[in-house]
Amino acid sequence: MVGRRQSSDAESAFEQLYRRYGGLVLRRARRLLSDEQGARDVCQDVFMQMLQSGREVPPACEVAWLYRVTTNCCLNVIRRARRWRRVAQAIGRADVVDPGLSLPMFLRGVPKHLHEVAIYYGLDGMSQDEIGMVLGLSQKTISNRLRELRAVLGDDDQRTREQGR
Amino acid sequence: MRPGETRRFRQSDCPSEFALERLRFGELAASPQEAGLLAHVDRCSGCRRLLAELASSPLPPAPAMHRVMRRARRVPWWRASFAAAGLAAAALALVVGRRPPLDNVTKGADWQWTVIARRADGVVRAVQPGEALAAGDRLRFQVFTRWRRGHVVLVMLDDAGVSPLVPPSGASLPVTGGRQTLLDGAVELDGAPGAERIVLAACDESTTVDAVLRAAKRAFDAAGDASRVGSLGTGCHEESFWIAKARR
Repeated sequence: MVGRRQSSDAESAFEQLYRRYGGLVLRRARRLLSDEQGARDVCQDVFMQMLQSGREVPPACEVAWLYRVTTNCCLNVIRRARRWRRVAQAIGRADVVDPGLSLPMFLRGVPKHLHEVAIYYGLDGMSQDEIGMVLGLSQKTISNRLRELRAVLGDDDQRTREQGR
Repeated sequence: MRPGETRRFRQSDCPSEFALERLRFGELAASPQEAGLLAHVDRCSGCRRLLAELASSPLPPAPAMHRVMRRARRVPWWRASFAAAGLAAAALALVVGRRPPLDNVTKGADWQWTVIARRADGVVRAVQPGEALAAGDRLRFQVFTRWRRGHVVLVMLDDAGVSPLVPPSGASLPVTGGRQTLLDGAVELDGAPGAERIVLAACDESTTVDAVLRAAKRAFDAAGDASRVGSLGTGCHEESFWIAKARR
């Protein structure tokens, strides 16, 4: 009886969180994936992570936590889609290839460890402080990663220009 | 209005959507950042529009939330497998009727023991099974159990029959689990050459040397030879260690 009441309390608390932050997560996932069904799946994954791992969302940092987890879930979807595309191309089934997403184009040529920083900085226009808060990293680390990102993107631009000549 | 449309009205010095979300959820309450953001929103129509848009973000459909709850309640397959394996093990233990001796404290073999010899020349070392020892060598025994506690008796079987080793008489020696116990008392080997079998009887409950000796004698009489004796029939865990006594 007590167990059932505790479970019911937990579900009610979860429902409150879902109602409060569900819109934020869905909106962000839609923006990153440009795919309604994918965004809804990501939304479920994010709240599943919150429930299953019993992870407490740090107080006054809920938005940062949800931003990070949603971004990671979206990146996982994109990486899975990329793998799937490679497999489909390898077996000569171009017709089953997942339609292209806008974010993969944005991340093309960017090393995996810089994906998150690239999204927060390039797509979300977040400050270094904000990126540091979301990722739980120091200003120095963020600054180094941004420098690395700029170098990568600079190289890419130069390569594109050379190819155009 | 689509999400992208609002962004067109915003200026380059506008705060990020992340900052506006934090403002909206009250995470910046009473901070200097909040005052700055509010002042900006007051004079920036683009940010006001975006805030209104964020506030009216549609929720994911309700069935999705119920699916999440159902998925969270579901027991993962690996946990279910462990539970099934646990039940099967418990059922097997009931069928076999064997009670585990005591709570275990570490992993590994139930019982381990080492025979330590101090030779006549003063050298002390662990004896290997079957190793030749000589008259006058003194033996001591170190016992380890992974169970929380136990009680041990050591007896010796040779051509002459059965004799007590450690303790020489009385109650068995208690052993604490999880650490090596050097048993009190040493045994000095006599001058009669030949193979000797040392048996460790390790019990859950306290027993006596006499009880182990009686069981060992019955087994010895039935087999007629120390090498042919199987279990002593003490009802305890038993382990044997053979040594060879040689003339010096």
